[in-house]
Amino acid sequence: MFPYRWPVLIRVSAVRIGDLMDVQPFISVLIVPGLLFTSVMAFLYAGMYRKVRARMQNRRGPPFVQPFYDFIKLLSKDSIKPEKSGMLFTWAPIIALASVLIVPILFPIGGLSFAGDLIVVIYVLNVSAIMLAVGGFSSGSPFGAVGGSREVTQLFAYELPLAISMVAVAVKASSFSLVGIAGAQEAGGMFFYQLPFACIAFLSIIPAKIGLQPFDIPEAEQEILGGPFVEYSGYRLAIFTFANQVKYFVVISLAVILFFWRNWWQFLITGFLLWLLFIFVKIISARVKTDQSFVFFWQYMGILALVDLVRVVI
Amino acid sequence: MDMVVQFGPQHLALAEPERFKVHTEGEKVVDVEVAVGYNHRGIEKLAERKTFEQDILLVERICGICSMSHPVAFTQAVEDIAGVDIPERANYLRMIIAELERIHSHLLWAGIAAEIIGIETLFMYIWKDREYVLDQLEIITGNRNHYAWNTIGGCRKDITEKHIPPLLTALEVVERRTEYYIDAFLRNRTIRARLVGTGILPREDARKLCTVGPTARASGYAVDVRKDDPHLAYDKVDFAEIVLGEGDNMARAKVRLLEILESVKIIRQAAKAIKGLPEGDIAVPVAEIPPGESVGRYEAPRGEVFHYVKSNGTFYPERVKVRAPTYSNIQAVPTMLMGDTLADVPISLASIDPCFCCTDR
Repeated sequence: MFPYRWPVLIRVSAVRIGDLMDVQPFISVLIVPGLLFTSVMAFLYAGMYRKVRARMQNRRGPPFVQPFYDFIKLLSKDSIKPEKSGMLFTWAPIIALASVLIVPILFPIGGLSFAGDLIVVIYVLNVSAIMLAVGGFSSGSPFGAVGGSREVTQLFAYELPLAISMVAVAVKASSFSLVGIAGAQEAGGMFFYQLPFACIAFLSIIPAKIGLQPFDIPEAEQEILGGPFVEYSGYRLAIFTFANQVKYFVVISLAVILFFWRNWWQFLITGFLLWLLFIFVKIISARVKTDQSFVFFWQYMGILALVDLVRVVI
Repeated sequence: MDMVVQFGPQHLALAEPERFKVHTEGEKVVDVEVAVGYNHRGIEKLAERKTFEQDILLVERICGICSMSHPVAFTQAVEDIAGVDIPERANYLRMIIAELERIHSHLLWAGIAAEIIGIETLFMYIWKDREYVLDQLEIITGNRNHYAWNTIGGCRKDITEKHIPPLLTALEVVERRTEYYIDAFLRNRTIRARLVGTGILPREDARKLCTVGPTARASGYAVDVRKDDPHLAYDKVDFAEIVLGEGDNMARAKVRLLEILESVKIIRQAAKAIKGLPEGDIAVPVAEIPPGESVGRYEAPRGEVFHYVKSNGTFYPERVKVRAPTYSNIQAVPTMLMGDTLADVPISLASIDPCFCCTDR
C-alpha cells in the first residue's frame, strides 16, 4: 500500500537496483518507516517531551536535539558491568531496542504488513517490557530487582485491557493486520467514534507502557533510583534509553493507527497531539502505587474495554 | 522474598546522609533500622571553645534551613543566664524573621514532598514561589539564609518603614499561592492516592515517641512551644494552632500548608505592632555572663529546638547541648513505615521533614 509518493531520488535508484532485486523490504526496514524514520521520530518525541515539560514548569529546558546529544555522549562513555550481573545484562537493552524497532516496520505507511501482524505487535512490545525486567534482575542490585518485579507486575496489570481493546479493534475491522485496520478506518471512519471505550482503555495504558507518570512505577527515581536502569551506564544505558524513546513513538503511533487513522500525514499530526496530551498528563500527576494501578487497570479499564468488545461481537 | 533495601547514606530521596535499613517481604516493609550519625560535626564540643558571641555564629550554622531557630534558642538561654530582658521591638523583629523562615521551610518541604511522590511540576512551582520569601529575607537581613539577625540582648538590625510594604506584598502573593497549593494537594487524585492513609502515626505513638512539631500535631497531639511556653512575642499575636487527627502523610502536608497561612497572619500583626514601638530600640548591651545555667526553647518549622547552656562566668560556655526536632521525630519513622509498601518509604520518611544536620550536629 502506497498512500504517498516516494521522493524522486529514491524512486530512481529503486528502479536501477530494482532490476536486480526487490528493494521495497529494504526501504521499509532501513528507511521509512523503519530504522531511520523511527530514530528521527524517537529523538523528536524525546526532545519535545523535555522541552514541553520544561516550558510547562517555568523552566527553559534543553535544546530540542538534546536527547540525540545525550545518546552520542553516552556511547562515548565507559559502560560498567557489575560483578554479579549475568550475560543478559548486556543483551537486555539490545533485545529491547531490537524488539521495539520491529513494530514500526509493520506500520501502514509503506511498511511490510501481513495478516496477523497485530499479534506480533502485542508480543514484541511485551518483549521490550520483559527485557526491562530482565535487565533489572540481572544487575544484581536490590533496586534493580524491585524495579524488575514492579515491571512484571505492571505488565500483568495492563496486559488484559490492552489485549481486550486490541481484539475489539481487530474484530471491528475483521482483520488482524495493521493495514487491514487502517483500511477499515479509511472506508468507515475512525474507530475512535465507533469504539470510544476501547480507545479510552487503550490510551490509559500508554503511560504504563512507556513509563510515564502516573504509571512510571518501575522506574521511580525517588523510590528505587530508576529501578532497572540503576546499574546501567555507557553504551548499555544509551541503548536502553533509546529503546525507551523509540517506544514513545511506537506506542503513540500504534494508538493512532488503531483508533485515529485517516491518512499518513494526519497520522503524524495526531501522533504529536496525542504525545502532547500524555506529556500534559505526566506533568500534572503523581506516581501511583502498584496496587492502585492494578485496581485501576483491571477494575475500570478492563471492564471499559470489555464493554466495547461485547458491543462489537454482538 | 525477604530483602534488605538500604535507604542511604546516599539516596535520591534523602538530601543528607543518614541510613535507613528497610527489611521487606516482597514490597511490604516489616522492619526498619535507623542509623544516625553520618553528619556529626562536633558542634557542641566546638561551642565550648568559642566565646558566647562567636557561638551565635556557630549555632546558626548547625542547619541551613533552621538558621533562625538555633541562634534564637541559644541567645534566649544566654539572656536568661545574664538576666536581661530584651526590648519589645527586638522580640517582634525576631518573630518576623522566624515566621518568614517557617514559611520558606514549609514551602520547601511541600516542594520536596511533591517531588518524592513524582509530581515534579508542583515542586517547580512551589520552589519558585518560595523565592518571594527568600527575596524578602535578603532585603531585610542581607542574606537568603544565615541571617546573622541575633545577638545577645536583641537583634543586630532593624526593620524600618521601607521594608514593610514589599514584605506585605510578598506575603499576599505567598498567601494566594499557598491556598492554591492546598487546593492542589486536596483535590489532585494522584496526590491523594499517595498521601491519604500512608505512613500513619497514631496519637498514642506520637506521644510515646516524644514527637514534636507538625509531625505531632498531625497526629492530634498538640505540642507547640509558641502556645505552650510563649517566647518572643507569640503571646501578643493571634494565631491558631493547627492540630489534625488523621496522622497520615496527608495530615502532615495539610498541617504544614495551613501553618503557612497562620505565619502570614502573625507577620501581618507583627508588622502592624512594630509601628507603635520606638525605632532603633533593638538591643540592650550585655557586659558579662554570670555563672549559671538555663535552657532556650523555640518552635522551629520542624518542632521544638531545645538549647541548654551552662556558663561558669568566663567568656566561654562550659556546656552547650542542642536537641533538634528531627532527633525526636526520627524515632517515629519505623512506626509510620511498618506494614506500608516500599513505595511509601521515601514519602513517609520525608513527611517528618527530616533535617539530619540538625540531628547529628
